[in-house]
Amino acid sequence: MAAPLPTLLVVPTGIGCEIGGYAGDALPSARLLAAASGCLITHPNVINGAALYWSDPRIQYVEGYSLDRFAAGELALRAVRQQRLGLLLDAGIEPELRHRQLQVAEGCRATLGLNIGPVVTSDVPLAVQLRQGPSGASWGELGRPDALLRAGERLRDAGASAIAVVARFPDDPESEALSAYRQGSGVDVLAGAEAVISHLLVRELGLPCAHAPALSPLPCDPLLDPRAAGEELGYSFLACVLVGLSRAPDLVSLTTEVALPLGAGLLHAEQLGAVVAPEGALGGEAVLACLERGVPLITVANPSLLKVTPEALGITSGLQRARSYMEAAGLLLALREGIAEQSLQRPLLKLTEI
Amino acid sequence: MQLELIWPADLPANQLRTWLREQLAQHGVPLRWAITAVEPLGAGCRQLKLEAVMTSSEQ
Repeated sequence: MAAPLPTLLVVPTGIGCEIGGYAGDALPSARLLAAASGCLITHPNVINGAALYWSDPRIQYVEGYSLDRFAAGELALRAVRQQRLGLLLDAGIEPELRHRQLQVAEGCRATLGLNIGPVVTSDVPLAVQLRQGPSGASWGELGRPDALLRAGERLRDAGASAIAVVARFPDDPESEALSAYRQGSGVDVLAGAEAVISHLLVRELGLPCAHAPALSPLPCDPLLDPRAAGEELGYSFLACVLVGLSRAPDLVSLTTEVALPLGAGLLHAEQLGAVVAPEGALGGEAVLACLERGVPLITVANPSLLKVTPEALGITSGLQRARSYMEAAGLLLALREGIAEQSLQRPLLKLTEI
Repeated sequence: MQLELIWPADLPANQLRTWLREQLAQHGVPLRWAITAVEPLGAGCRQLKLEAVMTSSEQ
């Protein structure tokens, strides 16, 4: 098979994507695209399944803010064998739920061999608040971002090379939004606030980071959608974060004065061979950065709240449309092997002379 | 915050990101943002709707 084709996969968080808007339900698609490309760069939301996860050396686990910076050419990625995972716990987590998080960490050490520690608790509760934008997309705020950053700095200074955050999220078991989500419609209302937490830490500390919410367990719902099931198997969402972060690539800033050559064991945005994104969700910074540098765009029919389509943005070149992630995988393979897409379709029009 | 911007007619899609970051910078330091809608206004004009989480420059 030809050399890997580094590919960016984006499934935006908190917009109700049919595939990927739930508990890591885009993971099978990510695994397929990783097999097709040989090197898939994607964000935690795509492959975090709470209690469920899959470790694939072809998948680079890159938090959303750093994914944007990577696509913009401001960061490079450096593969690691193992990160030392600092665990940041929100002071607002009640004692029993806090113990559950620590037990997940202990289990990941004992059973999976992950390098976890130290553990730091924020000096005050982080006070997460959930918001929804006019579009219906999930957003969020932190009451105490300063406390989050102080705790992160303590972990960094104590030798952590990546940070797993667990913040207490508000429980609202009777909400219509939660009920809709559990039954396979609507938006993950937690997603926006989760992104704010990890984005802030990555921006300020430059370390790989991912987040798991701390929530009280929900009563059993016989109508639970399979896509949401991963989040209701236990007391914590942390396991998938620890596994993903354990081999997350280091983030190497390219905006310093030190020139770093291509190669040198780094993955640069210049090496991207394709970006895959939902057809109606092309308005995020990573996709727009890929458009800037002419990275071939593969859109996938993956409905969500948004309608920011190729037509809306006036994109007419460098575009391939897939009706499914299976089809996207085929397009990626063709790109990787240097096979012209037209040759694979019928009718095959004759050459025209200009 | 939500921002509504008229998309300059001579700005191609592959230069949108840089222009949008300049617009957002007038309101703070963007932490997370995305175009959530593109609405035609007629006569070839389009309006962009952005949703963004901003931090102050001191944060």
